[in-house]
Amino acid sequence: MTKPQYPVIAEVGASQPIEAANLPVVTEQTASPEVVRLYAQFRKEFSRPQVPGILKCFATHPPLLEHMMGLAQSMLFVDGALDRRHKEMLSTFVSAQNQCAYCTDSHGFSFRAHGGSPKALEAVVVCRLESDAITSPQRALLSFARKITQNSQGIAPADIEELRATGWSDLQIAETIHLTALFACFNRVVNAFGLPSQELLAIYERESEDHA
Amino acid sequence: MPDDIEQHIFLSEVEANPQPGPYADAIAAAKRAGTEYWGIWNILAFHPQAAYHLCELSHELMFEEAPISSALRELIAAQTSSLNHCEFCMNAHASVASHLYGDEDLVWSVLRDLESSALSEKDKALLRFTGKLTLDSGSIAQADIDVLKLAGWDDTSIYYAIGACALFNFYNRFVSGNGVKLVSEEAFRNLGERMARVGYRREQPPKLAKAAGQE
Repeated sequence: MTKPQYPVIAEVGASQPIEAANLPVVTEQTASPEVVRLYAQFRKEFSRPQVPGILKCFATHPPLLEHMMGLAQSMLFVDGALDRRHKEMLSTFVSAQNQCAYCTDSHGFSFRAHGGSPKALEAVVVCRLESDAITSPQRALLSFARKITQNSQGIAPADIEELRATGWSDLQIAETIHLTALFACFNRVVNAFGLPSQELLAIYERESEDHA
Repeated sequence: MPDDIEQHIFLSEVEANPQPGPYADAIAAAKRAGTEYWGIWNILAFHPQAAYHLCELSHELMFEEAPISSALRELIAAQTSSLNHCEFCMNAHASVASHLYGDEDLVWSVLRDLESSALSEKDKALLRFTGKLTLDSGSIAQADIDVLKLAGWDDTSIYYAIGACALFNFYNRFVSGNGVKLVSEEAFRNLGERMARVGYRREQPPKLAKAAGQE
């Protein structure tokens, strides 16, 4: 698996403490040996000096940290039937639907880093699916993710047929359901802790302008 | 595949191609025995490594020793599923909670109307919070946590409540989005009894358990 390089994130100061508004998270100083090991594993696998805040929320219960990382690695941070760009597009969209500023920012950043255009990102974040930056199969996929987010009990065979008609395979649809459901979980953990956005997107756009 | 085989989930290609692992084995065994089985096995057999993490996570979070009882955690699971209109998960976890409380009436009265139920005021405070986390997580603020502290809950208990609620917001969409079908009342009762006794963990083939968590 090829890892994208995250020079921008690497520059976000490692000394900057992460604080959540509502509840204490597990800092490097308060981490148990098991959590220290998992934080180190994350740094090694993602080449990032700073452990992101969401993992510091999960670390309040070490098995949660271990298996949330495992879930994210097997479903999100890997090409599957859906490629990374579409996975990040979905993650950003669902997080915006769930009013999770932290995840919208970090996955919006990843979407851009995987080649998503600024116009497509904007359309995804404000849920303007009719935008011409969104292709018609993408529109169908995002509408489906919105229905799972807001009204999953209403999903019917006709919704699946509609996706198949725009060219999506059953495996791609299965991954879409899995990811959308995963973010229903992640976003709620982050919102409960009150984790603020890391503003990675703002840094990314500033850097891109500097290099333009 | 013959036409008369009943589909358990919407995605026929996923159902027709279970990946090797404990869930493919469980499905094969049920088919051989001609017994009823859960469509949730089909969606877990779709990605065995994700399923491994999911089940370990669920077992640790919902079943293992914690500052809040597994009965209350299962009640949160049933409440979350009820608010998300996921009938499959609601029935399953109402059944687990009923076994753990030894009181089916209490569980269903909470699902019908938390406020008028016989649940303690302290537990009601926690379920009001998880209800808000399910329906409107974007508006959770410090004041919501302060209410829980006043009711007597510590940080660790609150972490477990958040974990249980968030996990079932996953499961509800995973199950409904895939069209997992309801099973008989008796099957739900048996499932609830089993989960109350042994939790969420399934026997893993050593190779998969070893590979999990590594790329």
